Amino acid sequence: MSAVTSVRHRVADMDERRFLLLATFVPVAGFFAVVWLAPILYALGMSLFDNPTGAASFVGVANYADILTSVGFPKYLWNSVVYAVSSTVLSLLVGLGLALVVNQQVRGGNALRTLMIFPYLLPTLVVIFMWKFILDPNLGVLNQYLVQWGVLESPIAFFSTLQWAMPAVVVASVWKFGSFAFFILLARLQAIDPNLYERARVEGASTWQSFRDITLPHLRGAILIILLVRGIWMFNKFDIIFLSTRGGPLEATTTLPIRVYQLAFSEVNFGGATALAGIMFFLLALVAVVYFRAFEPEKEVAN
Amino acid sequence: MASPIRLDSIRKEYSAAGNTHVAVDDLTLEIPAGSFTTIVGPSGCGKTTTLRMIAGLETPTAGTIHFGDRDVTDAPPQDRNAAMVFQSIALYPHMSVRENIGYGLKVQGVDEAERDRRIEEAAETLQITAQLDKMPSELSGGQQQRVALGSAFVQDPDVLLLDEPMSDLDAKLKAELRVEVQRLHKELDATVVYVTHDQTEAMTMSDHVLLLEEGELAQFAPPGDLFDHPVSEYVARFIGTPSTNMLPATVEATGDGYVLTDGQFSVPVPGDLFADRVGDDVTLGVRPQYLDRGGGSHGVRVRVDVVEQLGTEYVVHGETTDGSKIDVVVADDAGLATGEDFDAYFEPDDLFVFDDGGDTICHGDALSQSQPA
Repeated sequence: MSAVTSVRHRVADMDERRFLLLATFVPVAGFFAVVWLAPILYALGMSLFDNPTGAASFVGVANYADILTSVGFPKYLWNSVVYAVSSTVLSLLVGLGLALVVNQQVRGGNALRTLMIFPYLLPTLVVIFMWKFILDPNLGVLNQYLVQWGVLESPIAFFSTLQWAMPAVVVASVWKFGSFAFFILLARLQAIDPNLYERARVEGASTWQSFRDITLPHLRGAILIILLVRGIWMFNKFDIIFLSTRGGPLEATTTLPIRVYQLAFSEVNFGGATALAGIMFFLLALVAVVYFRAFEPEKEVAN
Repeated sequence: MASPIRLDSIRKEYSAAGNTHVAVDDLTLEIPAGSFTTIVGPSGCGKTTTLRMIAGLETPTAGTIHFGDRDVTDAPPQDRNAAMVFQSIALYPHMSVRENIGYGLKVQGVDEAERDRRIEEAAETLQITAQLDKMPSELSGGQQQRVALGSAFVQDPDVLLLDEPMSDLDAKLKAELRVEVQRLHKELDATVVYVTHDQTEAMTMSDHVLLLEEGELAQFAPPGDLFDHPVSEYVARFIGTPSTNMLPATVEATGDGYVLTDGQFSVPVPGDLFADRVGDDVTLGVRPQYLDRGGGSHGVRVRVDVVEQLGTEYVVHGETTDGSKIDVVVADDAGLATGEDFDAYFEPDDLFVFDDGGDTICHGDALSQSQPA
């Protein structure tokens, strides 16, 4: 009798838990299916057709083959890598440097911390206006000072010069996104037990040794997250580049996202555009797999 | 080489928002080489600040610190050959126990073979050999504390500083580690300075006790002296549990001498100490352990409030007839119920006499010769 009751209880119990699981899982799964999965699959599907929005004809992986063998592809890929790596690494270094300064509780540190949020809050359009103004060859303050101090003979149009366009876009990006690394790193720095540094000093460690042996290991997890997340975002970044240079001059700043835009809206080649987007997706997935294998960031979380 | 530590008129001020807070005020003392000295006092009395100045983590506002003949007042902590164990234990969380213990040696450039030899020796002394390859987060509180002691031990410091290292441990572990710390002291050629707010630790472990009162030196003496010859009411109250009882009294001249009296008792006192204090209010200090229900030369009436059992003995918390608090330690609590009265007796030998400023006028031994035979 009692055994029967307990079994029945267990069954009822299971049902309740299963119901709860379903009730929480299904809406989330549905949401992701509609908002993420369907568009991704739709886009990947489009990439297998020629003229997918009009008289669609199935061409298999021909779009992919065309993109991969096109003349510009290596250059666009290289531009993307240069832009993503340099803007990610530089914004990490800038953020780390400023976070270390603010963490030292210098005079004005709080003001600096507040100021740091502004670049992140400003709309990209405003940021680009600002940097275009700063770097402008005729009106720009930077050129004016560089010429005045004798660094330059004549002003440089940074955003429209072949070798300066990419650095200029990277600088504007770092200015805007450095604060992302700054806030994450500052939070981690403030969580380090100050006694660890004191113990290291008493044990004879120099400032550099404390930084290497205490600060960096504590920041490792945060740095890895910043590299991954910021790296992916920068690889996919469109607005800041398009607004400042439109991919020019002479494709000097044409990254893969810019190229996708050109394919889709200038050359009305939706098959090619979606194929290139698919290539980007697979490239990033590959990088992410390598990253998780190499750095094992889940260990950081476990600790 | 253990070195003596000399503090000369050390003063430390902190300024915050326009207010100056004096943490340590005009502290002068010499801690003998190789001794075990405990700095004790209530929270905020400046004991940790004093320790941190000895470590070099704080610079005194005024005054000098010498290790032996060497002036280290402005020397950075790296240059003092001191080791310190922190209250928060401060193990490097991403390093194994072995790396934690050996970190000081590593930054000082000791080669790996020598490092391992010393780490293993320290681990053996502290019984943490089995934990050497674990991470700090896998250890219990007591083991973590042993690792912290180990990393101080391997550096073979001249000065070993411990900042309330056991405040987070349970009583049993405390007792165990107390023995451990003393064993380390014997094995190391180092001057040990130990900060605690626990006067039992101070009394049981040290050669000398420095008791601080709001940043100033209250008394610096061996534990026995501190217990038997406190220089002030503050010292008498702080040292010993339960706290010393304070009985108000007045100095009166009688036909054949001088007495301290409150109406119930009348303790004869020597004229050379009390002749010019006639009419003054004084305080008699008597330790709860020295009050006896059985009888004695002087007595006070006590009304029982609460009786606490402490293993083999009982602490009776009560009030005297004038309402001041009094504690009595008794061997058995027979017939002591709340609200009941009994007489607690004491001998003049066991008294401390304080003036109304809290300074000691004399201890019991000065009173004994003026007692009637």
